[in-house]
Amino acid sequence: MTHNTNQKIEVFNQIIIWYHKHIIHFMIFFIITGLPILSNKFSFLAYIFGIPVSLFAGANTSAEILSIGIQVARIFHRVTALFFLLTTIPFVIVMLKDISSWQIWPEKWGIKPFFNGFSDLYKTYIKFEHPEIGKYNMGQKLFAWFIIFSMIVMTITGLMLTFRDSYTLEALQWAKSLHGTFFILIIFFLIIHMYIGTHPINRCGLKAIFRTGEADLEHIKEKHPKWYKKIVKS
Amino acid sequence: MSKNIICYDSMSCIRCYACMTNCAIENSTRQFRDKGYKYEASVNEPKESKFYLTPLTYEYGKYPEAQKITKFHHCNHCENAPCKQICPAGAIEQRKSGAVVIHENVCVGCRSCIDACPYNVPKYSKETNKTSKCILCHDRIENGLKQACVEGCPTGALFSGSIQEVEQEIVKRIAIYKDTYNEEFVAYGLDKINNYVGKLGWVTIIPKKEMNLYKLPENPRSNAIALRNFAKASAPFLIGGALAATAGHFIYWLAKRKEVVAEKEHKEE
Ligand code: HEM
Repeated sequence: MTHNTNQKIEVFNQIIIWYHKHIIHFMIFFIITGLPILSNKFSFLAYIFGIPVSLFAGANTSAEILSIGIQVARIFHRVTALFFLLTTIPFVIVMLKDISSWQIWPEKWGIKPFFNGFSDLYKTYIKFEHPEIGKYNMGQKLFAWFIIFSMIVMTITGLMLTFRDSYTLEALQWAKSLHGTFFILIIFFLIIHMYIGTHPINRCGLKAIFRTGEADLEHIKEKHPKWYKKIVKS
Repeated sequence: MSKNIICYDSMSCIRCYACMTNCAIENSTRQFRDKGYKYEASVNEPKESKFYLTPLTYEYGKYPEAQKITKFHHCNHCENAPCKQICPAGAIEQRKSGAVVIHENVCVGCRSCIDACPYNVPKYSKETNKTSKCILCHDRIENGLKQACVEGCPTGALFSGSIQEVEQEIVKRIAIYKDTYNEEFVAYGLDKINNYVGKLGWVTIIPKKEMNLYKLPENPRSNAIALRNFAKASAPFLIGGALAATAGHFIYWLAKRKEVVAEKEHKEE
């Protein structure tokens, strides 16, 4: 089969584009409602929620406004979780059907490929070269694994905290702790994810995930040679 | 007002539970005063929140060597108050007297304080969706009275006052007990126990060999919540590190790009 290098290749399908857009909204809500619960350094967020509601609830003192704000944050957090689950469950089912085409698995397993993966990251982000990578480099794959794992942890522990009466105190303590700890880790990796995602060196990827879902075959040939080979083969 | 602490001396206690009765009566009248209950109702209707000091009985061994130990279960008014630290609603206050107080009017019922307390003290009421516990009778002590439990004690097994006063009395009593029984005694909570709780506002005098039986933990803490605290303390470094690394990388990228452009221009010339 011959390929025209101006040909467009589908990078992300419409379901992924749709889900990615919505997960951003959910994360914003999870974060702004979770932060004031996690730390009183973010009480100002609770005041932002609390001030308008307290006008109706008849709260006067700042302690009462804070309390109402936290209560609003807790309710919003749960409502966000409900919409998150309603969106995520069908998405996961659709994605799992197609698991063999995910490109987040290592091309090769072992210690040497692992170090080669690091060297590719060095070449990409420090030398700004184009090493022999597939659709994703090792950093992107590790991020994908991390985010899948951590969102499973957040969902399980979050549901435990929602339905507190069904669990022992010790289980709830661990649920609370893991929910908070993974939240901090998620924020750490999200900062890096958002930086690299919006960096000019990822212009094509950014356009694909937010708009077209496509990339030029020429671009893939140059920057993702292993993936190009797969496309050509198929 | 300066710090006010209570000491429970298990050696002088005759297990009459007058302290507990007095505590419950005081809380009944508080409900009348603070919550607008009718006086009769506040005395008669059992409410969980009345019982801030309760007995927990443990039996050890078999007859005839059986031993019964009654532990006084109550808030220890920890110096570092993990319950206060975790409360998202700011409903827990540590007063100047050291009293750790839950303000029920602003409690959101999230039960985080229960997760954090290593002594399993705060009690949640489904009925009110609030959590409650001993308030060290802060309203009484700030008006020159003793705590209700202390006032009810007929043998001086419960006593309270400034740290210096209580400490002096503890040292005196422990010296006498050591002399009399020829064994070690501890004043649990007088010195810092660990970083999780610090010192306690409710000290317990007990024979050292009975500490385990009395179930006074040597290292009271919730490992899970300690991990959460650690994660929270590390967060500024972690997030600051991520921001610094990305900003640094962007500057590096800009500099490198200039270099490449300059090189290109140089070649073209
Ligand atoms: C299905 C998913 C989730 C559910 C059911 C859920 C539920 C909960 C619940 C019940 C709490 C305890 C709040 C309370 O009532 O006092 C909580 C706390 C929190 N949530 Fe979530 N959550 C979910 C996902 C997330 C996500 C994705 C994030 C952010 C990335 C997040 C961030 C937080 C934070 C920061 C806290 C405060 C934790 C603490 O104080 O230790 N949650 N969540």
